[in-house]
Amino acid sequence: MKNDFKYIIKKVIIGLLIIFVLSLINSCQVHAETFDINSNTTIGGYNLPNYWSIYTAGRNLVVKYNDYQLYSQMPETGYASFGYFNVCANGSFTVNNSSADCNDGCFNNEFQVVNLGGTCSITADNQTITGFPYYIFYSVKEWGFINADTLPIVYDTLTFTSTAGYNVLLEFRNNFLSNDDLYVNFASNGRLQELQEQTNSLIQNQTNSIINNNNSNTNSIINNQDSNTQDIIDNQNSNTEQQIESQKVCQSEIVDSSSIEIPGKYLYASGSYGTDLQGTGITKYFNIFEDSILKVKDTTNDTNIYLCFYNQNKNLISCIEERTLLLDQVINIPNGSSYVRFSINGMTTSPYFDKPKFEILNCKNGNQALNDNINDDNVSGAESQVNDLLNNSSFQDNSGIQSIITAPLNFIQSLSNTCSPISITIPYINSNLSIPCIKQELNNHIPTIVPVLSTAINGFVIYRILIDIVAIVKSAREPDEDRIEVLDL
Amino acid sequence: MINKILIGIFKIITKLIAVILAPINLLVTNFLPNFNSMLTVVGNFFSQVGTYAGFILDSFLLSNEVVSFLILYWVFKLTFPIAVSSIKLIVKWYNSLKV
Repeated sequence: MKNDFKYIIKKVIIGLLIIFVLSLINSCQVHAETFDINSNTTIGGYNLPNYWSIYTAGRNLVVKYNDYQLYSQMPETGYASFGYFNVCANGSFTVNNSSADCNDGCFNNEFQVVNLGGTCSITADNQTITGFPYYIFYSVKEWGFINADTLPIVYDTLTFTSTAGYNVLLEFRNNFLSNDDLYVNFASNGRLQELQEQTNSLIQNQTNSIINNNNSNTNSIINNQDSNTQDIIDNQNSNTEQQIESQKVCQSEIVDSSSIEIPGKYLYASGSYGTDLQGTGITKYFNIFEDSILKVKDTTNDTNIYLCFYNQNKNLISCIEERTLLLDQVINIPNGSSYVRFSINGMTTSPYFDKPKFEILNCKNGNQALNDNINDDNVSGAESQVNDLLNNSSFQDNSGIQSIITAPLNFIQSLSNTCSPISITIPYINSNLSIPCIKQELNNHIPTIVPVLSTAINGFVIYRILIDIVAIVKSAREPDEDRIEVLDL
Repeated sequence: MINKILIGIFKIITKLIAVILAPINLLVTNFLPNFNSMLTVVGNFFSQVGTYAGFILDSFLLSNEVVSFLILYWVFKLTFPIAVSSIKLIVKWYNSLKV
Protein backbone atom coordinates (compact mmCIF):
# COMPACT_ATOMS: atom_id res chain seq x y z
CA MET A 1 0.00 0.00 0.00
CA LYS A 2 2.81 2.17 0.99
CA ASN A 3 4.62 1.28 -2.22
CA ASP A 4 1.48 1.86 -4.20
CA PHE A 5 1.19 5.24 -2.63
CA LYS A 6 4.80 6.02 -3.49
CA TYR A 7 4.19 4.68 -6.97
CA ILE A 8 1.19 6.91 -7.41
CA ILE A 9 3.03 9.86 -6.01
CA LYS A 10 5.93 9.17 -8.33
CA LYS A 11 3.61 8.86 -11.31
CA VAL A 12 1.92 12.08 -10.36
CA ILE A 13 5.22 13.83 -10.01
CA ILE A 14 6.41 12.46 -13.34
CA GLY A 15 3.12 13.50 -14.91
CA LEU A 16 3.47 16.96 -13.49
CA LEU A 17 7.01 17.14 -14.77
CA ILE A 18 5.89 16.01 -18.22
CA ILE A 19 3.16 18.59 -18.16
CA PHE A 20 5.66 21.14 -17.05
CA VAL A 21 8.11 20.20 -19.77
CA LEU A 22 5.36 20.17 -22.36
CA SER A 23 4.23 23.55 -21.21
CA LEU A 24 7.78 24.75 -21.55
CA ILE A 25 8.03 23.32 -25.03
CA ASN A 26 4.70 24.82 -25.83
CA SER A 27 5.91 28.12 -24.54
CA CYS A 28 8.79 27.93 -27.00
CA GLN A 29 6.32 27.75 -29.81
CA VAL A 30 4.80 31.06 -28.86
CA HIS A 31 5.62 33.75 -31.31
CA ALA A 32 7.61 36.27 -29.36
CA GLU A 33 8.24 39.90 -29.91
CA THR A 34 11.49 40.77 -31.39
CA PHE A 35 13.81 43.61 -30.70
CA ASP A 36 16.46 45.11 -32.72
CA ILE A 37 19.80 44.45 -31.15
CA ASN A 38 21.72 46.62 -33.49
CA SER A 39 21.68 49.30 -30.89
CA ASN A 40 21.23 49.50 -27.17
CA THR A 41 17.65 48.74 -26.38
CA THR A 42 15.85 49.18 -23.15
CA ILE A 43 12.41 47.90 -22.49
CA GLY A 44 10.64 48.00 -19.25
CA GLY A 45 7.79 49.26 -17.21
CA TYR A 46 4.35 47.85 -17.56
CA ASN A 47 4.90 47.42 -21.24
CA LEU A 48 7.37 44.67 -20.67
CA PRO A 49 6.01 41.70 -22.57
CA ASN A 50 5.92 38.26 -21.16
CA TYR A 51 7.89 36.83 -24.04
CA TRP A 52 10.54 38.21 -26.21
CA SER A 53 13.19 36.70 -28.36
CA ILE A 54 16.41 37.82 -29.87
CA TYR A 55 18.06 36.54 -32.97
CA THR A 56 21.75 36.79 -32.26
CA ALA A 57 22.89 35.93 -35.77
CA GLY A 58 26.06 34.42 -34.42
CA ARG A 59 27.07 37.47 -32.52
CA ASN A 60 27.88 37.82 -28.88
CA LEU A 61 25.03 39.15 -26.91
CA VAL A 62 24.93 40.55 -23.43
CA VAL A 63 21.60 40.68 -21.71
CA LYS A 64 21.50 42.70 -18.56
CA TYR A 65 18.71 42.14 -16.25
CA ASN A 66 18.10 44.98 -13.90
CA ASP A 67 15.55 44.47 -11.20
CA TYR A 68 16.26 47.40 -8.97
CA GLN A 69 12.88 48.79 -9.84
CA LEU A 70 11.34 45.70 -8.48
CA TYR A 71 13.05 46.18 -5.20
CA SER A 72 12.37 49.81 -4.93
CA GLN A 73 8.73 49.25 -5.55
CA MET A 74 8.23 46.44 -3.13
CA PRO A 75 10.44 46.88 -0.12
CA GLU A 76 7.80 46.19 2.48
CA THR A 77 6.25 43.10 1.14
CA GLY A 78 9.17 40.86 1.86
CA TYR A 79 8.98 39.26 -1.56
CA ALA A 80 12.12 38.25 -3.20
CA SER A 81 12.75 38.77 -6.83
CA PHE A 82 12.88 35.57 -8.64
CA GLY A 83 11.71 34.08 -11.85
CA TYR A 84 12.93 32.17 -14.76
CA PHE A 85 13.92 32.53 -18.34
CA ASN A 86 13.23 30.13 -21.08
CA VAL A 87 15.89 29.91 -23.70
CA CYS A 88 15.69 28.17 -27.00
CA ALA A 89 19.06 27.95 -28.69
CA ASN A 90 20.43 25.98 -31.57
CA GLY A 91 23.97 26.61 -30.52
CA SER A 92 25.91 26.39 -27.37
CA PHE A 93 25.90 29.26 -25.00
CA THR A 94 27.20 30.00 -21.57
CA VAL A 95 25.71 31.96 -18.75
CA ASN A 96 28.04 34.15 -16.82
CA ASN A 97 26.73 35.20 -13.46
CA SER A 98 30.02 36.26 -12.00
CA SER A 99 29.07 39.91 -12.24
CA ALA A 100 25.93 39.45 -10.27
CA ASP A 101 25.83 41.85 -7.40
CA CYS A 102 24.19 39.70 -4.89
CA ASN A 103 24.01 41.00 -1.36
CA ASP A 104 23.22 39.21 1.80
CA GLY A 105 20.45 36.80 1.55
CA CYS A 106 20.96 35.61 -1.96
CA PHE A 107 20.22 32.04 -2.80
CA ASN A 108 23.25 30.02 -3.51
CA ASN A 109 21.70 28.74 -6.64
CA GLU A 110 20.99 32.19 -7.84
CA PHE A 111 21.28 31.17 -11.46
CA GLN A 112 20.41 27.76 -12.55
CA VAL A 113 20.59 26.71 -16.14
CA VAL A 114 18.81 23.52 -16.90
CA ASN A 115 18.76 21.80 -20.23
CA LEU A 116 15.24 20.65 -20.43
CA GLY A 117 15.85 18.26 -23.30
CA GLY A 118 13.81 17.86 -26.43
CA THR A 119 13.56 20.54 -29.08
CA CYS A 120 11.97 23.86 -29.42
CA SER A 121 11.20 26.21 -32.25
CA ILE A 122 11.06 29.98 -32.18
CA THR A 123 10.38 32.41 -34.94
CA ALA A 124 11.89 35.84 -34.68
CA ASP A 125 13.05 38.33 -37.23
CA ASN A 126 11.58 36.06 -39.89
CA GLN A 127 14.02 33.43 -38.74
CA THR A 128 12.70 30.14 -37.46
CA ILE A 129 15.19 28.32 -35.33
CA THR A 130 14.77 24.82 -34.05
CA GLY A 131 16.93 24.35 -31.02
CA PHE A 132 17.08 23.05 -27.50
CA PRO A 133 15.13 24.50 -24.62
CA TYR A 134 16.88 25.69 -21.54
CA TYR A 135 15.48 26.79 -18.26
CA ILE A 136 17.23 29.48 -16.31
CA PHE A 137 16.04 30.00 -12.82
CA TYR A 138 16.80 33.32 -11.37
CA SER A 139 16.50 34.62 -7.88
CA VAL A 140 18.04 37.47 -6.03
CA LYS A 141 16.76 37.84 -2.52
CA GLU A 142 15.75 35.55 0.23
CA TRP A 143 12.42 35.85 1.87
CA GLY A 144 12.12 38.46 4.54
CA PHE A 145 15.42 40.17 3.97
CA ILE A 146 14.06 43.15 2.19
CA ASN A 147 14.77 46.42 3.92
CA ALA A 148 13.84 49.66 2.27
CA ASP A 149 16.46 51.70 4.12
CA THR A 150 19.40 49.55 3.19
CA LEU A 151 18.15 48.37 -0.14
CA PRO A 152 20.96 48.16 -2.60
CA ILE A 153 20.59 48.43 -6.30
CA VAL A 154 21.19 45.03 -7.63
CA TYR A 155 22.54 44.48 -11.06
CA ASP A 156 22.55 41.03 -12.37
CA THR A 157 24.01 40.22 -15.68
CA LEU A 158 23.43 37.19 -17.76
CA THR A 159 25.85 36.86 -20.57
CA PHE A 160 24.95 34.54 -23.35
CA THR A 161 27.87 33.77 -25.52
CA SER A 162 26.96 31.91 -28.60
CA THR A 163 29.39 29.71 -30.39
CA ALA A 164 30.75 31.24 -33.49
CA GLY A 165 28.82 30.23 -36.54
CA TYR A 166 25.75 29.26 -34.57
CA ASN A 167 22.60 31.17 -34.27
CA VAL A 168 21.19 31.44 -30.82
CA LEU A 169 17.62 32.38 -30.42
CA LEU A 170 16.75 33.44 -26.96
CA GLU A 171 13.30 33.59 -25.59
CA PHE A 172 12.74 35.16 -22.26
CA ARG A 173 9.71 34.57 -20.21
CA ASN A 174 8.92 37.07 -17.59
CA ASN A 175 7.64 35.04 -14.72
CA PHE A 176 8.54 37.35 -11.94
CA LEU A 177 6.25 37.59 -9.03
CA SER A 178 5.84 41.26 -9.39
CA ASN A 179 3.94 43.10 -12.03
CA ASP A 180 5.70 46.28 -11.18
CA ASP A 181 8.28 47.98 -13.30
CA LEU A 182 10.88 45.68 -14.61
CA TYR A 183 13.68 46.81 -16.85
CA VAL A 184 15.76 44.72 -19.12
CA ASN A 185 18.64 46.32 -20.88
CA PHE A 186 19.91 44.77 -24.04
CA ALA A 187 23.44 45.85 -24.55
CA SER A 188 24.77 45.04 -27.97
CA ASN A 189 28.34 44.79 -26.86
CA GLY A 190 29.06 41.88 -29.09
CA ARG A 191 27.64 43.64 -32.05
CA LEU A 192 29.50 46.71 -31.14
CA GLN A 193 32.71 44.85 -30.80
CA GLU A 194 32.23 43.23 -34.11
CA LEU A 195 31.55 46.56 -35.64
CA GLN A 196 34.62 47.96 -34.05
CA GLU A 197 36.65 45.17 -35.43
CA GLN A 198 35.16 45.71 -38.83
CA THR A 199 35.58 49.43 -38.44
CA ASN A 200 39.19 49.05 -37.45
CA SER A 201 39.78 46.79 -40.38
CA LEU A 202 37.90 49.12 -42.66
CA ILE A 203 39.74 52.12 -41.30
CA GLN A 204 43.05 50.36 -41.76
CA ASN A 205 42.17 49.37 -45.29
CA GLN A 206 40.86 52.81 -46.07
CA THR A 207 43.88 54.41 -44.50
CA ASN A 208 46.21 52.26 -46.51
CA SER A 209 44.20 52.98 -49.63
CA ILE A 210 44.15 56.69 -48.90
CA ILE A 211 47.85 56.71 -48.17
CA ASN A 212 48.57 54.84 -51.37
CA ASN A 213 46.27 57.09 -53.34
CA ASN A 214 47.71 60.14 -51.66
CA ASN A 215 51.19 59.04 -52.47
CA SER A 216 50.18 58.37 -56.02
CA ASN A 217 48.21 61.59 -56.27
CA THR A 218 50.94 63.57 -54.59
CA ASN A 219 53.46 62.27 -57.03
CA SER A 220 51.09 62.99 -59.87
CA ILE A 221 50.36 66.46 -58.53
CA ILE A 222 54.02 67.17 -58.00
CA ASN A 223 54.82 65.99 -61.49
CA ASN A 224 51.94 67.98 -62.94
CA GLN A 225 52.87 70.97 -60.84
CA ASP A 226 56.36 70.80 -62.13
CA SER A 227 55.11 70.61 -65.66
CA ASN A 228 52.42 73.25 -65.13
CA THR A 229 54.75 75.51 -63.25
CA GLN A 230 57.22 75.33 -66.05
CA ASP A 231 54.46 76.06 -68.55
CA ILE A 232 53.23 78.95 -66.43
CA ILE A 233 56.72 80.33 -66.09
CA ASP A 234 57.25 79.99 -69.81
CA ASN A 235 53.95 81.68 -70.55
CA GLN A 236 54.62 84.37 -67.98
CA ASN A 237 58.00 85.00 -69.44
CA SER A 238 56.57 85.17 -72.91
CA ASN A 239 53.71 87.44 -71.86
CA THR A 240 55.96 89.61 -69.77
CA GLU A 241 58.34 90.02 -72.63
CA GLN A 242 55.51 91.00 -74.91
CA GLN A 243 54.08 93.41 -72.36
CA ILE A 244 57.45 94.92 -71.65
CA GLU A 245 58.07 95.30 -75.34
CA SER A 246 54.76 97.03 -75.95
CA GLN A 247 55.00 99.11 -72.79
CA LYS A 248 58.48 100.21 -73.68
CA VAL A 249 57.32 101.61 -76.94
CA CYS A 250 54.25 103.27 -75.54
CA GLN A 251 55.82 104.62 -72.39
CA SER A 252 58.71 106.06 -74.28
CA GLU A 253 56.29 107.89 -76.51
CA ILE A 254 54.30 109.10 -73.55
CA VAL A 255 57.42 110.36 -71.86
CA ASP A 256 58.33 112.19 -75.00
CA SER A 257 54.91 113.78 -74.98
CA SER A 258 55.37 115.23 -71.50
CA SER A 259 53.41 112.41 -69.87
CA ILE A 260 50.08 113.81 -70.81
CA GLU A 261 47.48 111.17 -70.43
CA ILE A 262 45.30 111.28 -73.44
CA PRO A 263 41.61 110.63 -73.02
CA GLY A 264 40.63 107.66 -75.04
CA LYS A 265 44.05 106.23 -74.88
CA TYR A 266 42.64 102.78 -75.07
CA LEU A 267 40.17 102.55 -77.84
CA TYR A 268 38.14 99.42 -77.69
CA ALA A 269 35.75 98.04 -80.13
CA SER A 270 34.08 95.55 -77.91
CA GLY A 271 30.69 94.04 -77.62
CA SER A 272 28.64 91.68 -79.62
CA TYR A 273 30.40 92.11 -82.89
CA GLY A 274 29.57 88.54 -83.57
CA THR A 275 26.39 89.95 -85.01
CA ASP A 276 27.69 93.16 -86.48
CA LEU A 277 30.80 91.74 -88.02
CA GLN A 278 29.32 88.43 -88.93
CA GLY A 279 30.13 87.50 -92.47
CA THR A 280 32.56 89.21 -94.72
CA GLY A 281 33.01 92.79 -95.69
CA ILE A 282 31.56 94.29 -92.53
CA THR A 283 34.02 96.83 -91.36
CA LYS A 284 34.96 98.88 -88.37
CA TYR A 285 37.29 101.79 -88.86
CA PHE A 286 39.67 103.18 -86.30
CA ASN A 287 41.82 106.22 -86.58
CA ILE A 288 45.53 105.63 -86.59
CA PHE A 289 47.95 108.28 -85.48
CA GLU A 290 51.66 108.53 -85.90
CA ASP A 291 52.44 106.90 -82.60
CA SER A 292 49.60 104.47 -82.41
CA ILE A 293 50.34 100.96 -81.33
CA LEU A 294 47.90 98.48 -82.67
CA LYS A 295 46.95 95.44 -80.69
CA VAL A 296 44.20 92.91 -80.71
CA LYS A 297 42.98 91.86 -77.30
CA ASP A 298 40.91 88.99 -76.14
CA THR A 299 40.21 87.48 -79.47
CA THR A 300 38.83 84.04 -79.57
CA ASN A 301 40.89 81.32 -81.02
CA ASP A 302 40.43 80.18 -84.57
CA THR A 303 39.27 83.60 -85.59
CA ASN A 304 40.68 85.00 -88.75
CA ILE A 305 40.69 88.75 -88.74
CA TYR A 306 41.42 90.96 -91.68
CA LEU A 307 43.29 94.10 -90.88
CA CYS A 308 43.41 96.52 -93.75
CA PHE A 309 45.21 99.83 -93.52
CA TYR A 310 44.12 102.94 -95.37
CA ASN A 311 45.64 106.32 -95.89
CA GLN A 312 43.98 109.60 -95.13
CA ASN A 313 41.86 109.37 -98.27
CA LYS A 314 40.85 105.87 -97.32
CA ASN A 315 42.81 104.35 -100.11
CA LEU A 316 43.99 100.85 -99.34
CA ILE A 317 47.63 100.51 -98.41
CA SER A 318 47.89 96.90 -97.37
CA CYS A 319 46.08 94.15 -95.55
CA ILE A 320 46.98 91.45 -93.12
CA GLU A 321 44.87 88.53 -94.11
CA GLU A 322 44.14 85.05 -92.99
CA ARG A 323 45.92 85.50 -89.79
CA THR A 324 45.06 84.35 -86.35
CA LEU A 325 45.97 87.23 -84.16
CA LEU A 326 47.33 86.48 -80.78
CA LEU A 327 46.54 88.17 -77.53
CA ASP A 328 48.33 91.48 -77.11
CA GLN A 329 50.22 90.97 -80.29
CA VAL A 330 51.55 94.25 -81.56
CA ILE A 331 50.66 94.75 -85.19
CA ASN A 332 53.02 96.50 -87.51
CA ILE A 333 51.34 99.53 -88.98
CA PRO A 334 52.38 100.44 -92.50
CA ASN A 335 53.68 103.93 -93.05
CA GLY A 336 51.11 106.47 -94.08
CA SER A 337 48.22 104.65 -92.44
CA SER A 338 45.42 106.80 -91.13
CA TYR A 339 42.73 104.21 -90.70
CA VAL A 340 42.62 100.56 -89.95
CA ARG A 341 39.67 98.45 -90.87
CA PHE A 342 38.79 95.27 -89.06
CA SER A 343 36.79 92.67 -90.76
CA ILE A 344 35.96 89.14 -89.96
CA ASN A 345 35.82 86.33 -92.39
CA GLY A 346 34.39 82.90 -92.18
CA MET A 347 32.06 83.66 -89.32
CA THR A 348 28.75 81.97 -89.57
CA THR A 349 27.46 82.08 -86.05
CA SER A 350 28.04 84.64 -83.38
CA PRO A 351 29.31 82.42 -80.55
CA TYR A 352 32.55 81.94 -82.39
CA PHE A 353 33.28 85.56 -81.98
CA ASP A 354 31.86 86.57 -78.68
CA LYS A 355 33.62 89.59 -77.29
CA PRO A 356 36.55 90.66 -79.37
CA LYS A 357 38.41 93.76 -78.40
CA PHE A 358 40.44 95.75 -80.82
CA GLU A 359 42.78 97.99 -79.03
CA ILE A 360 44.76 100.86 -80.34
CA LEU A 361 47.28 102.23 -77.94
CA ASN A 362 47.12 105.81 -78.95
CA CYS A 363 50.37 107.35 -77.93
CA LYS A 364 49.93 110.64 -79.64
CA ASN A 365 52.26 113.40 -78.65
CA GLY A 366 51.12 115.90 -76.07
CA ASN A 367 50.46 118.84 -78.38
CA GLN A 368 48.42 116.75 -80.74
CA ALA A 369 46.42 115.39 -77.85
CA LEU A 370 45.89 118.84 -76.38
CA ASN A 371 44.74 120.19 -79.72
CA ASP A 372 42.40 117.29 -80.17
CA ASN A 373 41.07 117.82 -76.70
CA ILE A 374 40.48 121.52 -77.28
CA ASN A 375 38.87 120.96 -80.63
CA ASP A 376 36.69 118.20 -79.31
CA ASP A 377 33.20 119.69 -79.41
CA ASN A 378 31.44 116.57 -78.35
CA VAL A 379 29.51 117.59 -75.25
CA SER A 380 27.03 114.76 -75.31
CA GLY A 381 26.32 113.54 -71.86
CA ALA A 382 27.64 116.64 -70.17
CA GLU A 383 24.21 117.82 -69.15
CA SER A 384 23.31 114.53 -67.57
CA GLN A 385 26.62 114.41 -65.74
CA VAL A 386 26.09 117.91 -64.37
CA ASN A 387 22.59 117.01 -63.31
CA ASP A 388 23.87 113.91 -61.60
CA LEU A 389 26.39 116.02 -59.72
CA LEU A 390 23.90 118.65 -58.70
CA ASN A 391 21.27 116.14 -57.75
CA ASN A 392 23.67 114.25 -55.59
CA SER A 393 21.84 113.29 -52.45
CA SER A 394 24.65 114.55 -50.25
CA PHE A 395 23.95 118.08 -51.47
CA GLN A 396 20.20 117.92 -51.17
CA ASP A 397 19.92 118.96 -47.56
CA ASN A 398 18.66 122.51 -47.75
CA SER A 399 17.70 123.46 -44.25
CA GLY A 400 18.89 125.58 -41.38
CA ILE A 401 21.76 127.94 -42.06
CA GLN A 402 22.06 126.73 -45.63
CA SER A 403 18.46 127.62 -46.36
CA ILE A 404 18.68 131.15 -45.02
CA ILE A 405 22.01 131.89 -46.73
CA THR A 406 20.97 130.47 -50.04
CA ALA A 407 17.47 131.95 -49.81
CA PRO A 408 18.28 135.08 -51.89
CA LEU A 409 20.01 132.96 -54.50
CA ASN A 410 17.11 130.57 -54.60
CA PHE A 411 14.76 133.50 -54.90
CA ILE A 412 16.70 134.97 -57.81
CA GLN A 413 16.77 131.57 -59.38
CA SER A 414 13.03 131.25 -58.94
CA LEU A 415 12.53 134.44 -60.94
CA SER A 416 13.22 132.45 -64.06
CA ASN A 417 10.36 130.08 -63.31
CA THR A 418 7.67 129.95 -65.91
CA CYS A 419 4.22 130.97 -64.92
CA SER A 420 1.92 128.37 -63.46
CA PRO A 421 -1.66 129.01 -62.36
CA ILE A 422 -2.12 129.57 -58.66
CA SER A 423 -4.52 127.31 -56.88
CA ILE A 424 -5.53 128.25 -53.35
CA THR A 425 -7.91 126.49 -51.06
CA ILE A 426 -10.08 129.09 -49.32
CA PRO A 427 -10.51 128.22 -45.68
CA TYR A 428 -13.98 127.71 -44.17
CA ILE A 429 -15.56 127.74 -47.61
CA ASN A 430 -13.58 124.69 -48.62
CA SER A 431 -13.41 125.57 -52.27
CA ASN A 432 -10.48 126.10 -54.58
CA LEU A 433 -9.60 129.45 -56.05
CA SER A 434 -7.62 129.06 -59.27
CA ILE A 435 -5.98 132.11 -60.76
CA PRO A 436 -4.74 131.60 -64.32
CA CYS A 437 -1.66 133.26 -65.76
CA ILE A 438 -2.50 136.88 -66.50
CA LYS A 439 -0.60 137.09 -69.78
CA GLN A 440 -2.43 134.09 -71.17
CA GLU A 441 -5.76 135.54 -70.09
CA LEU A 442 -4.97 138.88 -71.65
CA ASN A 443 -3.92 137.14 -74.84
CA ASN A 444 -7.26 135.39 -74.86
CA HIS A 445 -9.28 138.56 -74.40
CA ILE A 446 -7.25 141.43 -75.89
CA PRO A 447 -4.71 139.72 -78.16
CA THR A 448 -3.96 142.88 -80.14
CA ILE A 449 -2.97 145.00 -77.18
CA VAL A 450 -0.84 142.51 -75.26
CA PRO A 451 2.18 142.55 -77.64
CA VAL A 452 2.26 146.32 -77.62
CA LEU A 453 1.92 146.49 -73.89
CA SER A 454 4.52 143.77 -73.38
CA THR A 455 6.98 145.44 -75.70
CA ALA A 456 6.58 148.74 -73.89
CA ILE A 457 7.08 147.24 -70.47
CA ASN A 458 10.00 145.07 -71.46
CA GLY A 459 11.58 147.90 -73.35
CA PHE A 460 11.29 150.19 -70.37
CA VAL A 461 12.88 147.60 -68.08
CA ILE A 462 15.72 146.96 -70.49
CA TYR A 463 16.19 150.68 -70.89
CA ARG A 464 16.47 151.14 -67.16
CA ILE A 465 18.91 148.25 -66.91
CA LEU A 466 21.09 149.66 -69.63
CA ILE A 467 21.14 153.07 -67.96
CA ASP A 468 22.23 151.45 -64.72
CA ILE A 469 24.91 149.48 -66.51
CA VAL A 470 26.21 152.64 -68.07
CA ALA A 471 26.21 154.29 -64.66
CA ILE A 472 28.11 151.38 -63.17
CA VAL A 473 30.69 151.54 -65.92
CA LYS A 474 30.98 155.30 -65.53
CA SER A 475 31.48 154.97 -61.81
CA ALA A 476 34.22 152.45 -62.47
CA ARG A 477 36.08 155.07 -64.41
CA GLU A 478 36.38 157.26 -61.33
CA PRO A 479 39.84 156.49 -59.87
CA ASP A 480 38.82 157.32 -56.31
CA GLU A 481 35.56 155.44 -56.42
CA ASP A 482 36.11 152.29 -54.39
CA ARG A 483 32.64 151.48 -53.21
CA ILE A 484 31.57 147.93 -53.79
CA GLU A 485 27.95 146.98 -53.82
CA VAL A 486 27.19 143.63 -52.37
CA LEU A 487 24.07 141.63 -52.07
CA ASP A 488 22.60 142.13 -48.64
CA LEU A 489 21.99 138.70 -47.37
CA MET B 1 20.07 128.97 -73.27
CA ILE B 2 21.04 131.97 -71.17
CA ASN B 3 18.32 131.06 -68.78
CA LYS B 4 19.67 127.53 -68.43
CA ILE B 5 23.20 128.80 -67.91
CA LEU B 6 22.00 131.13 -65.19
CA ILE B 7 20.06 128.38 -63.49
CA GLY B 8 23.14 126.19 -63.65
CA ILE B 9 25.36 128.89 -62.16
CA PHE B 10 22.97 129.51 -59.31
CA LYS B 11 22.58 125.82 -58.67
CA ILE B 12 26.33 125.39 -58.50
CA ILE B 13 26.71 128.31 -56.09
CA THR B 14 23.88 126.99 -53.96
CA LYS B 15 25.36 123.52 -53.85
CA LEU B 16 28.82 124.83 -53.05
CA ILE B 17 27.42 126.82 -50.17
CA ALA B 18 25.62 123.71 -48.99
CA VAL B 19 28.87 121.77 -49.08
CA ILE B 20 30.80 124.44 -47.21
CA LEU B 21 28.16 124.90 -44.57
CA ALA B 22 27.41 121.22 -44.11
CA PRO B 23 29.51 120.77 -40.93
CA ILE B 24 28.13 123.94 -39.30
CA ASN B 25 24.65 123.01 -40.34
CA LEU B 26 25.14 119.59 -38.81
CA LEU B 27 26.23 121.11 -35.50
CA VAL B 28 23.25 123.49 -35.42
CA THR B 29 20.89 120.69 -36.34
CA ASN B 30 22.14 118.49 -33.52
CA PHE B 31 22.67 121.02 -30.74
CA LEU B 32 20.18 123.78 -31.59
CA PRO B 33 17.33 122.00 -33.28
CA ASN B 34 14.79 124.74 -32.56
CA PHE B 35 17.07 127.43 -33.98
CA ASN B 36 17.63 125.25 -37.00
CA SER B 37 13.87 124.92 -37.45
CA MET B 38 13.45 128.68 -37.27
CA LEU B 39 16.08 129.22 -39.96
CA THR B 40 14.46 126.55 -42.06
CA VAL B 41 11.12 128.33 -41.79
CA VAL B 42 12.69 131.54 -43.11
CA GLY B 43 14.24 129.67 -46.00
CA ASN B 44 10.96 127.96 -46.73
CA PHE B 45 9.26 131.36 -46.78
CA PHE B 46 11.59 132.55 -49.51
CA SER B 47 11.04 129.32 -51.39
CA GLN B 48 7.28 129.74 -51.09
CA VAL B 49 7.48 133.31 -52.31
CA GLY B 50 9.68 132.15 -55.16
CA THR B 51 7.01 129.78 -56.34
CA TYR B 52 4.79 132.77 -57.15
CA ALA B 53 7.61 134.77 -58.78
CA GLY B 54 6.85 133.35 -62.18
CA PHE B 55 3.19 134.23 -61.84
CA ILE B 56 3.95 137.81 -60.71
CA LEU B 57 6.49 138.46 -63.47
CA ASP B 58 4.07 137.03 -65.99
CA SER B 59 1.45 139.41 -64.67
CA PHE B 60 3.75 142.32 -65.50
CA LEU B 61 4.01 140.92 -69.03
CA LEU B 62 7.76 140.52 -68.65
CA SER B 63 9.21 137.97 -71.03
CA ASN B 64 11.66 135.30 -69.92
CA GLU B 65 14.44 136.94 -71.88
CA VAL B 66 14.00 140.18 -70.01
CA VAL B 67 13.95 138.39 -66.71
CA SER B 68 17.15 136.59 -67.63
CA PHE B 69 18.66 139.89 -68.64
CA LEU B 70 17.58 141.35 -65.34
CA ILE B 71 19.32 138.57 -63.45
CA LEU B 72 22.42 139.01 -65.55
CA TYR B 73 22.33 142.68 -64.72
CA TRP B 74 22.32 141.89 -61.02
CA VAL B 75 25.19 139.52 -61.46
CA PHE B 76 27.07 142.17 -63.35
CA LYS B 77 26.23 144.81 -60.79
CA LEU B 78 27.56 142.65 -57.99
CA THR B 79 30.68 141.38 -59.71
CA PHE B 80 31.88 144.16 -61.96
CA PRO B 81 32.65 146.70 -59.17
CA ILE B 82 34.58 144.01 -57.33
CA ALA B 83 36.68 143.30 -60.37
CA VAL B 84 37.30 147.00 -61.05
CA SER B 85 38.05 147.69 -57.42
CA SER B 86 40.51 144.79 -57.35
CA ILE B 87 42.29 146.12 -60.39
CA LYS B 88 42.44 149.58 -58.87
CA LEU B 89 43.81 148.14 -55.66
CA ILE B 90 46.49 146.25 -57.53
CA VAL B 91 47.42 149.38 -59.47
CA LYS B 92 47.55 151.39 -56.26
CA TRP B 93 49.85 148.81 -54.67
CA TYR B 94 52.00 148.79 -57.75
CA ASN B 95 52.35 152.57 -57.68
CA SER B 96 53.19 152.50 -53.98
CA LEU B 97 55.82 149.86 -54.47
CA LYS B 98 57.21 151.65 -57.49
CA VAL B 99 57.78 154.79 -55.45
